[in-house]
Amino acid sequence: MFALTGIEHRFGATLALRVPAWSAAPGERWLVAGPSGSGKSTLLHLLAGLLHPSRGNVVVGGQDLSALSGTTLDRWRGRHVGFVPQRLHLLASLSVLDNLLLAQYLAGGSPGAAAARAVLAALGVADLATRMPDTLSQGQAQRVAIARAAINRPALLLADEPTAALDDANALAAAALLGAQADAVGATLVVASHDGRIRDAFTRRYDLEAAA
Amino acid sequence: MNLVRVAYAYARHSPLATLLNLLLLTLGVATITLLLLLTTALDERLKRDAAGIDLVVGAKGSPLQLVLAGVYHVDVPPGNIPLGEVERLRADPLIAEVVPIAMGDSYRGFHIVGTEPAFVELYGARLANGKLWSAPLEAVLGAEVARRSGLALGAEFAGSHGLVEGGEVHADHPYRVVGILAPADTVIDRLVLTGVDSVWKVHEHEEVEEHAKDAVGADGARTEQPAVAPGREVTMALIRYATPLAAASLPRQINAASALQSASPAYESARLFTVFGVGTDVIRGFALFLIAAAALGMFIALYQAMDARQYDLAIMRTLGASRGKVCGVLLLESLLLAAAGAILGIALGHALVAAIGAWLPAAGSLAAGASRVLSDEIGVVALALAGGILAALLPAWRAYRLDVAATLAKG
Repeated sequence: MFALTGIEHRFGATLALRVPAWSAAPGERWLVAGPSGSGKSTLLHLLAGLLHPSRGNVVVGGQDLSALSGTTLDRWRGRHVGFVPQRLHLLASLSVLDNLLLAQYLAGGSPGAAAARAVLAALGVADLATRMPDTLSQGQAQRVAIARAAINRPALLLADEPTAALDDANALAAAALLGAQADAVGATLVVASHDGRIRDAFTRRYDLEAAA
Repeated sequence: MNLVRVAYAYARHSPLATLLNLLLLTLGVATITLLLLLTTALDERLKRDAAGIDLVVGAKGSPLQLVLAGVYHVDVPPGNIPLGEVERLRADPLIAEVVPIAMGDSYRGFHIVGTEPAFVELYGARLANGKLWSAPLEAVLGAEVARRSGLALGAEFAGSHGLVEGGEVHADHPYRVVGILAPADTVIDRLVLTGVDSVWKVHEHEEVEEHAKDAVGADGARTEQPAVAPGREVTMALIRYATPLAAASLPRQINAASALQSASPAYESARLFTVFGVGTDVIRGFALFLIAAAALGMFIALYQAMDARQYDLAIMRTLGASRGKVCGVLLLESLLLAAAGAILGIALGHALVAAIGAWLPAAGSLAAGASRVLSDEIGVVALALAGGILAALLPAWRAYRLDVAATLAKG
């Protein structure tokens, strides 16, 4: 599904990430593990096309990301990648349902409140549709963020430390939901986490070492 | 879902800042609209009143006073001029028409003007009822005089001395209403018209009394009498040129060669406009200041919100929004506010003019413009929108430059 070869990424002179070779098949569930500062977030950003690597190639779904830039890259990202950021960042001025509809709109997909409600229902938060984000619990917000990432049926579902703020039960539930949503939309799942509690939820694991 | 809805949601999310900036903008736009409507109506009113009159000739004095008294009837006239001078003007080939006017009395604050029937045409009026005056002490009422006084055809009334209310009443020489004019939307609506000889007749006894006093006061040494017969004077003459060429020579000729003073209504009202133009410039400046304050307020609100908003914008980018779209959201939010302020402000400006018309009957003719949309108002809207764009420019640039990966990595 994706392949990374000879990746190095630097911020200024500092080497932040090194991935000599890593590839995944469609539908696989990957855990990217490693201590803080090992470049887990940077790796996700490379996969999402939010960053171009200083060196090396990122190919996702047959598309060489170095060939895309600007608006084309943004559009590609909207269509093919779902992203659950560590701090969730639901748009506070929009309702839960509108957060999902915005994701649909920005990806250029055909809008449909029915599809959005279906995704919310699949994640068990259908009754939260009209709520504003600041009235949600952490666990509820997590589910809505996953729904927002999955609504456009991405080929690649990325999540950055999705369980850092959750208790044990919710952490396991979140990992399970990510897996279930990835299966439901046929996405390859990549979760970056140093959380030992959810290790068993993943069949594949890529270990990053602390940057040299 | 679209960008407008997102922008609207953001504006609604911080209602206090949004309402404050909306209020400032609305007040600024309303003030400018109000000024535009009033000065346009006033300008048109002044032009319409003076439309038929090329030149006013009266006694030496201020030309502005001549025009204010003789054309707009808002000032007291300077002294009188001999009727002989008026007859001399009639003979001038450069002059198409001379209409003498004799003033000095009023009825309930409305000026009584002794003149010739041609006066009615000068002000674009026509009779609604009755006939024009033909004998002494016959009077024709302007539309507003008739409406406010309730006098009908055949009714009698007495003028009072002086142009303000409360003067000595000429009860022994009552006027009789023989005609009522249709509304002309000029100053003639507020005038009482009669023949010049009526005015002479009403004042004859006074002249006699005054001369008697003079004789006594001078203790036998009689004061010098004017060459013309007493009473045979008018206040001013209104002149229509026979040819535009007259404007070049006639005023100078009159001012130099006789004891008369001429004044051009067009020139004097333009001069008047430059005088109170300073006042409207100050108000206009204040209104622009309000709009600028609103733009600054919008800028500060947007810029302050950027610290929190950058994560939202980064998320929108990960959801597939281009750089252009995220800065579009900021521009749209600002433009929506500016457009709302412009529309509310223009509506408020028109409503204020209508309210002024309703509360101040004297300003009624100015308020007639309340329902009219001026082309200058497009400029006001453009100004407000430009303020909105200006306010969003820097925040939009920050949004455009946003480093999505670094922002997400921050938190």
